Amino acid sequence: MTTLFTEQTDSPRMDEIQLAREAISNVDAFAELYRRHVTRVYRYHIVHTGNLKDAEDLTSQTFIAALEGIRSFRGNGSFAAWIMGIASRKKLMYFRGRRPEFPLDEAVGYPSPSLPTDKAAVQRLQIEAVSRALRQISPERAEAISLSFFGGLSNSEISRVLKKSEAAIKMLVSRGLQDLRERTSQELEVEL
Amino acid sequence: MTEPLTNKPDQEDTEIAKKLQAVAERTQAPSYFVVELEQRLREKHIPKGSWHWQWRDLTPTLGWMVLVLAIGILLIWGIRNFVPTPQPASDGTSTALEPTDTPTVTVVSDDNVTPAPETQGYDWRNAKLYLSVPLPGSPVGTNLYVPQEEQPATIETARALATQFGIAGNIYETSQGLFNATGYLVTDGRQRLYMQSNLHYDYYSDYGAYTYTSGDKNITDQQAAIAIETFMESHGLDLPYQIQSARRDPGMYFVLPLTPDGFTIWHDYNIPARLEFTIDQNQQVIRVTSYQVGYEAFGGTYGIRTAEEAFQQVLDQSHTIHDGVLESIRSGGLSQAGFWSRTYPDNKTITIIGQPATYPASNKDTLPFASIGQWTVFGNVTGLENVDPTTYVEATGRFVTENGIHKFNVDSWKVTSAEEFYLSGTLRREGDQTILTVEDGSAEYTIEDAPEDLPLKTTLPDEYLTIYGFMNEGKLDWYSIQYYPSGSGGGGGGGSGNGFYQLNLSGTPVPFPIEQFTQGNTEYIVSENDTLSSIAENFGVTLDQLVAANNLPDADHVLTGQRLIIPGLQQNQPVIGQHIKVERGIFTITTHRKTDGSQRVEYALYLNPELYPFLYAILEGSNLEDLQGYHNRPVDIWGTIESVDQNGTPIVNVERYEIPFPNLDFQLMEGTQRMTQLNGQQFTLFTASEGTTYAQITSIGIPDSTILGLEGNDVILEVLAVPGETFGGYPALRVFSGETVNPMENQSTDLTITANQPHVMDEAPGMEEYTPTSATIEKVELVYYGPDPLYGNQNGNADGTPQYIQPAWRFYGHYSNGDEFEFLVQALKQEFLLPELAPYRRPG
Repeated sequence: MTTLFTEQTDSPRMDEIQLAREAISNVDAFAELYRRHVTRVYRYHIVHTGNLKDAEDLTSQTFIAALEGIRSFRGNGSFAAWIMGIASRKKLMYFRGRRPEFPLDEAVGYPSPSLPTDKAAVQRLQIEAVSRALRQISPERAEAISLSFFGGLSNSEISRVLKKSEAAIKMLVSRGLQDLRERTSQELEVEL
Repeated sequence: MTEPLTNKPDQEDTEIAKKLQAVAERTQAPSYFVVELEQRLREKHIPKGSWHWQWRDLTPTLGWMVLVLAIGILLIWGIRNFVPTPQPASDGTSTALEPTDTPTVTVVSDDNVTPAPETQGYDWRNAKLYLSVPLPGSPVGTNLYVPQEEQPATIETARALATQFGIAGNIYETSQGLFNATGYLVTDGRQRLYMQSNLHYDYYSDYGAYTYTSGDKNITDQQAAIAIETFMESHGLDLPYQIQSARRDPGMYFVLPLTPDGFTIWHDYNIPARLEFTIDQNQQVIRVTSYQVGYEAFGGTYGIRTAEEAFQQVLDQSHTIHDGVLESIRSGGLSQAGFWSRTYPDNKTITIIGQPATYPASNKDTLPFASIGQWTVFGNVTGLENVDPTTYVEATGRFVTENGIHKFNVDSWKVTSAEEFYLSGTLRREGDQTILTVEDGSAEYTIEDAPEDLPLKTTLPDEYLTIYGFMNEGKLDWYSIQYYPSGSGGGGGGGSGNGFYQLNLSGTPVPFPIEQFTQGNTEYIVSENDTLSSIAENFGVTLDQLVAANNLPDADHVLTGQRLIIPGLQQNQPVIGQHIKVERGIFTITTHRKTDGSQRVEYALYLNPELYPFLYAILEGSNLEDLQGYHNRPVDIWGTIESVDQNGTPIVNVERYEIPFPNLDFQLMEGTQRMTQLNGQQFTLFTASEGTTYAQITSIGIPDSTILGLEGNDVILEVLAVPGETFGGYPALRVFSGETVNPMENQSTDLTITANQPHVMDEAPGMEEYTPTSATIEKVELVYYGPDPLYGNQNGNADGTPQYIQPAWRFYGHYSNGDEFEFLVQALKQEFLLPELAPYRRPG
């Protein structure tokens, strides 16, 4: 089994309460929290939008909101759950049509920032495939799966974000996986 | 549905799970983005010094000269900025279609106000709060409205709305929109109307994918008002409204519909129910997006509090967040500073690339609507509807303009291997060629058909020039160029506040606990130098409350040693003078290194927030140096809360301490984790490789439910095993950090214990020059506040009643750093409220 978030989960949560308190007055502490969680937030946004530019915008908005509201993190849940909660709400606001290329529809495109190599193209296709696949299952299940696999949250953290019981989250994830398998497996040809 | 209930995913679901995980793992944010965002966040970080909370005189400070000046300025501001009585637009019977010279609706501008620095200032959040407009009077009562579920569009309603907008065209069915219902597109090839419902639609007078950027950033309010009024009249939009400029995109204005009693409706995050108008340089309305709210009157009149009472609540928000008030902040300016979109000449054979979209027509005899990228296409488009809309196609043909409609006549098309991409870099001109040098210098491309006004020789990171396009067989085919000078780019925002109270419409008032406070009373012993005012201010109660709670005859007279009852306190408010005993708080040592080379050691204690009213306290005392070796170890502390700093953190003077476990130190333990639950609470179990299973708790003693990687992964944890601590029947481990183990490397020799080493924090340069940002309220108005229908009616009350659309006082303004803020204060009188918060979602 390969590790999932090596840099980000070195110290999950345990000293983050201290970091978050220090982040109120010390920018380096906030930067540390940022570095630990930027990847999960980005992954969550890109699998949802399928679009690099929008993922970047939403990631920026998420962290700026976290910076403004850092005082309100009280440590009664993990920092990851807190910041993914903000990410989830920012995502909801994204779909008000702030910057649609195709209004009230969803554009899926993922340009890579340099001359595309085979690897980058494959990567892009995979994210697009996942993004597309998630659109074909119910939004609730897609959200639980996005938070779990891309946001890297545990079921209890997801239950904090979505305000549902953990049993409900487990159900959403497992039913969502089932739906994905039944409807889209031929698209998710991913090299493991 | 008869799906079997399974707790365990079956084998194939695990396959899917692995695939998802694999894709996730390989996805990384681009490094330039991560670095640039970190830089932006650092610049935004407002450092706060950690000085102790000072006694503060809450009366505004005015000298006589300033008073006279202030009154003069207030009069002028009052005339300019006081919200005018809403004037409805024409009643719809007028037939004149030419723009009138003077608009009958004036634009209410949110952001053209420069606050006069000498107006009345209130001490607030360690800086000043200015009120640059007079507080308006208020009606005795208002209505209440109930949100109505909106009806999704049907073919008939789509046609009716399209006719109203003057579109004679075909109707197409779009895929699931925001409400999981069919949406419709009505287009004549030039105008487009996307419709979800009568309240949510998007109209383009001449569709372009980048219309939102094409507004005129230099338009004046008066020109906008004329354009809007003309449009509203000629398109049958017969509703009373108010116009407000919007800062977000150039040339954008909000039309705010008014309730029957003449007020605007607001949601969270400073967003109103509105129609968004985009107006171009010819003062034509090029886009209208409707985000309206449906509601009906509930009946009755409901008393509201005055603007003065609401303003007092805003002042009370200075250091602690109270209930009944919502606050939001937004920073960031215009979305971007420059935008160019590729255009092609008519009647020339070219190739366009983009993603295809086809929508079936509602009339089965009509051909489907087809587009490639941002362009409408027709001609040889058979088969396009079978293409996956996320792939790219290239089409060869010609642009034609027929009847004023610009579209692309396809001769042939095919799925393309062209790659979409974007590049950042710098442009230069060589002769009549424009050349792009990519950011890292690795390549150069010619930009064909480059617009003349592109900025040249821009420099990163202050200026970002980004080209979006396709790479087709080595050739760069661009479709848009964006220019972002530093400081622009997507803004962000946040909010705080616990939300409004639930409504009590039973007719029988429910008593509130004394002044919203929720805890019991506390005793305080008056010490020397205390006065009643200083004590009241210290505890966050008013002088009247203190006098009333103690039946004091004389508001000025207290004796040293006298016992006073402090009426119930705000939750989590540490009490000055309170003696505390903390068992097994986690003691920490932090060395702050300043830029001038000096350093300061800070001792702190982290507490279990389930047992104590605060999470964290700063410790002072001469005996604390003895605890040097106990960083991150549990310690028992006896002390007195001396003061509270401006973050609300108590400062405790330590009288005595005890070290319960002098030899306790950290260990590294290898093992696996899995989740379990007890009484509905989930937590993590750790089974060490030697066989013992422990319950994980966090450093401060709360049950922990994080898992590193996936359940069952091999992990190494850095833990404190506090003797005698258990949870859920298992011995407990306080987990401070951990890592998953990569079987490829032998990691157990690499990890070292670091949790026992005191923190060192280097103070950021520039902290000494910090000036607190002051805030100026530029607008005070009575509005209605209601849930945003785009979220669905999820915020219903526990008894099933919806969240009403209710009156609120709106205070809007800017901080001195340019961020905009908004306070919404629940206006209904207490007799119509329940002392319970309505269910609410906000960050934090």
